[in-house]
Amino acid sequence: MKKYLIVTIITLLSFEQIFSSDDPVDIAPPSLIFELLALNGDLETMQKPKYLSPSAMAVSPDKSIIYICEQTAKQVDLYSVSANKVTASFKMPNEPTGVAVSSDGSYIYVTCASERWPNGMVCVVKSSTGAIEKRIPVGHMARSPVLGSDDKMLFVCNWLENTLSFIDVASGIEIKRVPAIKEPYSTALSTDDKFLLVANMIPDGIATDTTMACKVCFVNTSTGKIDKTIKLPNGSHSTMNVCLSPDGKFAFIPHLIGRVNLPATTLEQGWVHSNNLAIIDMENQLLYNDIELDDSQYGYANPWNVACTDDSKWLCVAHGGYDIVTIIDLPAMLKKLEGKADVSHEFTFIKDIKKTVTSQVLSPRSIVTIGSNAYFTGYFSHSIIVVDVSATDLKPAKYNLAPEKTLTSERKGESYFYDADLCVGNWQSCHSCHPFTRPDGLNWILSDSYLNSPKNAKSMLLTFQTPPTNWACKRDNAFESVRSGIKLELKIEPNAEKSTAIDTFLMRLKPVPSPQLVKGKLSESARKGKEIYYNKQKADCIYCHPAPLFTHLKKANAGVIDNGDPTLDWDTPSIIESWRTGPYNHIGSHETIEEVILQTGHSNNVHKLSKEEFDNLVQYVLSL
Amino acid sequence: MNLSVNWKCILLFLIVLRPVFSATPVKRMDLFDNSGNSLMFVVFEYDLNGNNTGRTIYAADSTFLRKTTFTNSESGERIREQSLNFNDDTIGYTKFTIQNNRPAIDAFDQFGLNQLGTPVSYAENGENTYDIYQNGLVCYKMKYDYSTDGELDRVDILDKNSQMLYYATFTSTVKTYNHNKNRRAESQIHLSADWCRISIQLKKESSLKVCLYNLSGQLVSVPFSKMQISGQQMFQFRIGGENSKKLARGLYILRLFIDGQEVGTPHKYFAAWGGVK
Repeated sequence: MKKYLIVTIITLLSFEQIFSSDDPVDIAPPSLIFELLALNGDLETMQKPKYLSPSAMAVSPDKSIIYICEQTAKQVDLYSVSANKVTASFKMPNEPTGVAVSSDGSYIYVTCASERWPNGMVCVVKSSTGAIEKRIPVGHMARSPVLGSDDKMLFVCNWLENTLSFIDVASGIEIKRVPAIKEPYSTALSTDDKFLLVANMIPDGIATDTTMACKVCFVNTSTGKIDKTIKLPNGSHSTMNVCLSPDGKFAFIPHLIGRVNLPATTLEQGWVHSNNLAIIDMENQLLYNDIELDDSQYGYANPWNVACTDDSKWLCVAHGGYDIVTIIDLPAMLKKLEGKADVSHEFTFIKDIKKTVTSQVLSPRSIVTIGSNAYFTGYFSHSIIVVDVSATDLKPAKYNLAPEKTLTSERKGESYFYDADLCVGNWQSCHSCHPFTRPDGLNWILSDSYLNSPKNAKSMLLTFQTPPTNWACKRDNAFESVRSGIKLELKIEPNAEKSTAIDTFLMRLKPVPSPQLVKGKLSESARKGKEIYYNKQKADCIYCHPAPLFTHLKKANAGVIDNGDPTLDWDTPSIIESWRTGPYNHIGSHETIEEVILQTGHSNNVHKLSKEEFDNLVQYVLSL
Repeated sequence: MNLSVNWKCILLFLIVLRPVFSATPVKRMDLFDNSGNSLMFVVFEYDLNGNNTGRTIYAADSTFLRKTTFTNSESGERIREQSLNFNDDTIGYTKFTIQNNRPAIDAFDQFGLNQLGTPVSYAENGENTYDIYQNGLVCYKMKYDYSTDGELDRVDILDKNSQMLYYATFTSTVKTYNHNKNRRAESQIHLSADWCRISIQLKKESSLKVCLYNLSGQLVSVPFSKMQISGQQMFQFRIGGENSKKLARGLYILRLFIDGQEVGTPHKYFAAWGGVK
């Protein structure tokens, strides 16, 4: 009997050996490895071909190399200026968002972050080999690295965390993280290294304030404190870049001005958006003036990047929404500005001192200069354009960074989203009111509801998954909204192919993990807050904001008083990404999520929570 | 000679040899690009019977990206995997199918939108080498390398011209990360006869507890439970506890807890035959 038992055990053990899932190919089959790398944007698929997406550039000190950050390809290309070709590519662990070069050219400092993995890092890369010698952790969606003149300090914008990182280069340690204002997207260092000029992309404050505008701030590099804040003209937003003049006297900041107090019934003459360039007097730390980049009949949508030739003769502005580069005679412009009052809405001001060149690339977002040559790349193209901006007859030359790839419908939709060709007069693109598909923070009087009070711009995230759309739930779904948006706000008849591509792009948007998460997980406080969120005895959030979309897809009265509109019930937005979508509610009258939750009429229970419970609840909401 | 005793000896021999000849379950896979940049890593989870039950995916800096749970058919075939985010909300799923007689996957987001475009399949093409197909064409290749003792060492991910693009490395030793805000713990557990040695890096002073469970999941004993100061710590103890209590013969699971929280999936199996002192 015992013998049979033992034989049975041995047989079972043998079977266990044969059928055990210990086989490594079963645990990590080729399909799993493929899927992991594909969903991480590393291996290309039919759905996501490997596009380059050139988005930032820097020039080596000897002017022989242009370093090109190719965002979705996760690499930095070395473009030889003499050979006009890419001579090497350095792989990055995440999407490169910006690059700075050491003064001797031996190192490049590449900020890396992506929507999948937003924890920023600075890769310290040996320029001769491409070896990453250090990875320095910084903040959420790090970008725009700037080196001090002695290479001792490196400064980085943590875009969606609203902070700046100060890094000691020698030790490779972030020594300070200081607050900026709202979405610091780009920065430049004063020539004496004393101040960082930071462009905050989105206005802070509440949208019912009709003087709302984004701000640039001077951050003291010794103390890390904001010493001076400059508000750009009312309605300003989308400050995408900061460029210093070679002598350091002026900074140039491209931005949009939203005419939020006017109903969007026409687009002509910048009625809804004009595309501008702020000029900051660095010595006196004030807004010197602000110039209109548009013509009276045509807009030059979405000025994105600015570069100045070393001889200070030419200022080049790449327009991400119009596939064009404006080249301005800088000394002439500064002379014209002497003693001049505000010219931010003078269409003719630079007309006789500027020239334009078609970029030949889709969505030019990065521009650098070497001598009198400007080099620019387009986010949706695989080429670099070179043009001698001093020439009377501008003749751009085009060089390939890599073979072009056919755009998928999703990628086409993304390019159309940023393309003012979809707009009459090229005044604005979808991105103008929904920067990077998220809200611009402003209230707008849309053309089909111009008798109503202004409404806050909405995020496009989950718009297809959370019908009905717009604050009044006027449209059944996002399909209708995309077409009515093109027709009513861009003033052209929607084209089926382009609208469908935009649909595809929007319905595939993914939330960006919140900067409130700790290593990608809920913090201790947020975990406690989650328990309160789902506890109907404690809070009543889940009635209107149930997971997984965090909206019940209906109208609700959140208690918000709008003096211009007696309607009480409005669309219940998803609270996913609410950490970045303020100001809140249909009129943007709450600056913080705390104010929204505590608004009388919004919740019956939360007032009974202890302070700690309330803070935990807020922490959870801001983590989604 | 007593036959049953002989069988016992053989059985003992087999059990002792089994760990030597059977590949240790893969606990962690690290993925790198061809420049050696660490991109992400995956921690595999196993149930008490050693079956792979899920995995968690982390970015290279240990940021949690998603965790994946499995659904198997009654016959044990994998039919679906589901990915969850930090809030345990579904963010995607993967379906397992057959394409042209090849095992294939198709990945979707939570709304059913295809993430790969079309299914991706694979087939063995040579020893430990696989071709990856999409739309009927080979798009990548993968080469599995094993060490001389049969452990999976590395997988090279190659383009269709066999140029290396990425690679994966594998660890079978217990190596886990705890992503608690104030603490990152990296542990290694070594078992020998009746001793266990644990080395661990603690970011702060913590209570460490080692528990033994039987395969039914019942707690058998707590051979080690102490506060440990921060820093790199190494300690060893008798598996049978300080009193060298005899353990009944059988298979046990050893689990490590820090401040009451289990450190990832550090299950370590060991067999006690005829008792351990």
